[in-house]
Amino acid sequence: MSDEPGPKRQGYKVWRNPTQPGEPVKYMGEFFPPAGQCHILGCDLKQLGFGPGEYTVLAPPGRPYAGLFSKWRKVVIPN
Amino acid sequence: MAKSGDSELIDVPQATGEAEAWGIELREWMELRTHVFGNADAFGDFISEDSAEEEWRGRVAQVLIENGHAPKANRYIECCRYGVRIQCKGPDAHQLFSPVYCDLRYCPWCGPRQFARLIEKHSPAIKAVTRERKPGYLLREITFTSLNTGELGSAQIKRFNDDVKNTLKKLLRRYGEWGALWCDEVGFNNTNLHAHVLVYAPYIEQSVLANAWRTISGHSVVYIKKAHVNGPKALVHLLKYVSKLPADVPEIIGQLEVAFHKCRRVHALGVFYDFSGDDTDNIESEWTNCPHCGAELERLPGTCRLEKLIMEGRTFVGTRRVKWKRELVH
Repeated sequence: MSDEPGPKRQGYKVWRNPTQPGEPVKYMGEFFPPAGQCHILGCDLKQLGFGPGEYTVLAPPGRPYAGLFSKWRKVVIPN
Repeated sequence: MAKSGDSELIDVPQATGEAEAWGIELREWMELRTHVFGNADAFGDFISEDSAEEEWRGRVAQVLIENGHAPKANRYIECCRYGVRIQCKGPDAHQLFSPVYCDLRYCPWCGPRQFARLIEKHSPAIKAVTRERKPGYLLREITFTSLNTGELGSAQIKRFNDDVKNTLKKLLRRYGEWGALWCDEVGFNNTNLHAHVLVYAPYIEQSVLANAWRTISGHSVVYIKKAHVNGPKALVHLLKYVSKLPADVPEIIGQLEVAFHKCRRVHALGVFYDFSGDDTDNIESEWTNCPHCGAELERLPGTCRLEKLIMEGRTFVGTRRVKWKRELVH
């Protein structure tokens, strides 16, 4: 087995949607789903410490969400 | 991120900076904005039902961005899926909306709209020459072709159009009241540039036409025939490809849009230029006053998914055409 590192995995980029008109979108960073899980879900973000609200998630290339090509997903963490 | 979500006013350097900071493409920045500011859950389902079209439009937009047309790319992404809120200034404050259109040549939605506007614009002249035909004059179809070099750029298209114009003028300037209308086309999924011309003129010998075309353009293939239908049907036949996409690969559509930047596709000469009609779409499809009470209308900032605007109970008020877009009948 080679010691060389494999290709760098790309994570899911997450933005917090504005809650009021005029508020900017906030980039939260890049995150990975828990081992063995395909996609990042609302409960994962909650576990990461994200507060209630609406988030927009961009899936990495080659890992679209369900739907024909959908790489974008709205994720809601309820109050 | 620009707060308003206004499709016509994006700050490209700011957008590029944010996209770089977040490690995403500018195209994705545009998509993100449309998702955040226009996200609609009108049908109780998070998954956008037009994700296939979004992917298609995103790939076309990517080519436009790479060639320095970011605002066009943004319009292409939002076209017909987003709208602007229009507010009535009357006492009842009627709530209205108007869809966003990109008005680009190779948009599956705006192409047919441009086709309808072109028919409206050029029908009066065609009807006039059909009604009162001069002796010896007929509607004929000429096809000018150019050598397919495998590439297509603005300079090449402009030169081709100049060559068509100069050839027609050389052949027809000795006659009075001739007219010509032509439409640039490309072969399906390729760069084979050619022009279909509807010409109202006396008989032109094929060999004379071929000589003139060769002398002026250097290209050799051109042919003429009597229009197989007459009057407005000939116009529909000429312009039909304006309403159809010339490729099924989004990257080719993007490259064509770049190549035709600032180039007209449809040209008129002679009586067809002099007697082209008004573009009634500019006058009749834009509401300047509230259709319910006649009060003034005000556009609110931002764009939003059409489903969401409908769910807000807003009434459709037709196209909103800013001044520079009114010139876009090409």
